[in-house]
Amino acid sequence: MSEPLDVPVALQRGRPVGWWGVLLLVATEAALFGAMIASYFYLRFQAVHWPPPGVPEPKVLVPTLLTIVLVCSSVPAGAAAAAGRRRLPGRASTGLVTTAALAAVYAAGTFVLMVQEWQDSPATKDAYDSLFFTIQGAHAAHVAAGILVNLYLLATIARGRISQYRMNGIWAMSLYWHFVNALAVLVLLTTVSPSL
Amino acid sequence: MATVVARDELRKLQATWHERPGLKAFLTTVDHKSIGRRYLVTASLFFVAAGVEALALRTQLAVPDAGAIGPKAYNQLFSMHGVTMIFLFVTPFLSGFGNFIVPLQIGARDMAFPRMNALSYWTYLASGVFIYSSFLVGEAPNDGWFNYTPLAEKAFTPGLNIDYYNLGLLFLAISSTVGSINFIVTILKLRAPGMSLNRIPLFCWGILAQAFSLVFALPALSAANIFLELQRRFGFHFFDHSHGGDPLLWQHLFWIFGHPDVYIIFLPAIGIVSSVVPVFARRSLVAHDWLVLATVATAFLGFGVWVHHMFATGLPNVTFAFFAATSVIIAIPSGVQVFGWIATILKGHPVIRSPMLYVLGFLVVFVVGGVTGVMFAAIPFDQQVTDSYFVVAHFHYVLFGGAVFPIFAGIHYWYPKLVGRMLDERLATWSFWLFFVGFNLTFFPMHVTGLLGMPRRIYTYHPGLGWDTLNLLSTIGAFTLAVGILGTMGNVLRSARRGEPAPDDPWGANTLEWATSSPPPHFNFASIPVVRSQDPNWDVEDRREDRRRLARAELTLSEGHETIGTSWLDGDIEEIHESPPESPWPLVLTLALAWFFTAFLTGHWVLAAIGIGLTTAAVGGWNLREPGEE
Repeated sequence: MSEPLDVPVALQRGRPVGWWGVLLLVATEAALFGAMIASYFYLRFQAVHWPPPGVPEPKVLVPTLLTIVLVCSSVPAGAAAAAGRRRLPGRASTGLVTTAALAAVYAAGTFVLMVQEWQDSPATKDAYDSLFFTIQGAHAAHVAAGILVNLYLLATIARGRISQYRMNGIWAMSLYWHFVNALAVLVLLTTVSPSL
Repeated sequence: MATVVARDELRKLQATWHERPGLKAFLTTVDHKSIGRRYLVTASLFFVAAGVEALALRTQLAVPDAGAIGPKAYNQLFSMHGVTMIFLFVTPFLSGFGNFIVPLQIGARDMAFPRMNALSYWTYLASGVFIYSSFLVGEAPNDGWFNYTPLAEKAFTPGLNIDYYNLGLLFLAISSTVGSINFIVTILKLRAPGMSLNRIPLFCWGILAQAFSLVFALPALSAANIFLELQRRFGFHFFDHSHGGDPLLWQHLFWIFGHPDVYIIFLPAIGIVSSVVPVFARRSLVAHDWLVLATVATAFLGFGVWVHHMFATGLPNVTFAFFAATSVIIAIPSGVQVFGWIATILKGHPVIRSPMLYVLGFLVVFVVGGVTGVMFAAIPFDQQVTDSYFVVAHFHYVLFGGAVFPIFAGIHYWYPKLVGRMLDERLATWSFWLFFVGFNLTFFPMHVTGLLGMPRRIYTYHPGLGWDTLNLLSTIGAFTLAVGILGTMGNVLRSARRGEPAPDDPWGANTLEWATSSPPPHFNFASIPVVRSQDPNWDVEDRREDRRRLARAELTLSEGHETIGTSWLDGDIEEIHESPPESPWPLVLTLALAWFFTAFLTGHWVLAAIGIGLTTAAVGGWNLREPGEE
């Protein structure tokens, strides 16, 4: 029991704890959206008409195209994380900017759509609209938060050096983007389901 | 030579980890031990508040047609008693133990995210103050701790009562979520080298199972709170039939959280029992692995029983049958645990000291609560006694018996480590018996009052219904229980100054928190311990080797705020984990959040928007400088 212990100095074999933290954040967020989507279907299966009479059916084409744009952002997000691990600030920055740009297209498009849909039939009209806007709005807020964090990370590596701390941040954020993008598909399938 | 090296290492560690006492350190500390102690003190204050509320309720119910408290105040008091006990006392108190004990038991120097840990405490404190500030305007939550719709809708509860409830619980959810994630990552990634998954102490297993349950259960409550607040404030529709909603949706969402929450409360508490039993039975836990599996199984099954709170709502019988079956099945892992503890006591050489007294009290009380729990799984019986005092008796036997008895065991067990002094054993014994007798005198008669038809949540009753004597007995019991609790509190306060100094390991215990001094130094362990069994502190040679390792400056990590990061399965060394020192940002972020919730509550939307801006800025400020730079 007296053999010296081999401590690998500054060698990181596992994923950083920040990544694990974001994984669990993602898990709890998934449960939150799970509860909201379950509520949607709970009320839907009790309703005779869904959406109720007088409420237009949800649009399909534009939200689907927007979701495809968002899902594509997983590629630059993954690339940013890979570049971060190799401490390449230029490539990481490109990945972060591209992810944020694609997400911004989605967020802006979704915002315009929601404003139009609100004018047709606001969230205060009935339970269908309340759930539609709450779920859609909650997801859009997650995208907006992601864009902010990406821009923030971009600013912190602008000095041209990626520290261990920032690398962990970029790595964890790419996980967040994969989650938000997968969630976008679920939210899309839920909200357009009456038109399918 | 060796002594010189050791002394040098200790000096370096002391210089790195020391926090100079003062206001700045008070507001910025991230030391898990300070945060743990704060949790314990704050939660104790909420316990006192909940106790005072309970005594007020029992005073009103002591005799028929009493006029001590009117119905409006009564509704607020019983609601706040429940909210406080569940959300502001038991869970945070267990988090307090978790914060203090978990890093020590796994041989780490701090939690995985020390600043998040501080955030978790500050948001807990702020949300508790937020909820309690409702008393100042006379509009405390008043629809019970489970806050059913339609009663909780604006039309039926127009004041701010329910807004305090919704927003306060959302605020608190931040604390619980952050805390849970922190516990999970800490236990999975920062264990001492050699502490493979099967060597994790059972208290840590309890905390781990609790944290996972919270991560997945709490969002259902948060969703319900968000829905209800949107409905009350902005005219959305989720729970009202007239616009396509359903009041039962609230019940489903609430109990999808609410029943796992029973286990969220219970699992760390029985972790305390599993810590105390082997130490005072003087042998390893019998069926250790089965107890771990039972802990995990309970956490899983806890997600499949929520409809047994809704047996009187008219759902289809097929649904009821499924949930009745799972409600019976969940008794199995609890049975495994009870038999495991009893077998350990019978096979060992039990020493009866105050922590063990509370554990024995727990076993008696919890089995009674478990038996009435199984009775509730029989649907016709449930429908007969639902919303009666039988339910009140049952859940106090399970929750007070299942959580508060173990918490008191934990107080007596870990006090020497927390404070560095011993409690007065004589006073502890007296307090226990008052506690035990008072508890049973309060709650056992309630089984009968319930069977005799007394509904819960009524502020008074007429004479001649057969409930008079039983209610009086319950009130006498409640005051006896209060005296027992006061005895313990007095003991805790008195012994902090006058108690005998505690040695490092006063109980001859098996886990690592007893391998360091009482109270532990800021850096916990001079050399990170290496573990080779489930009872590392009983491996005397290994602990000697820790000291020899210090003399060789091995695993001392004295160059910065460092601890060892290990693989989650085998506990192999993976990295040197650097943790950040003290920081003002957790408190700043909490104040920004408090601003937002207060502005939202009072309907100042511009100020609420500014609150979101401040919160975002605080998150930015938090991460602006890297831990190494501060």
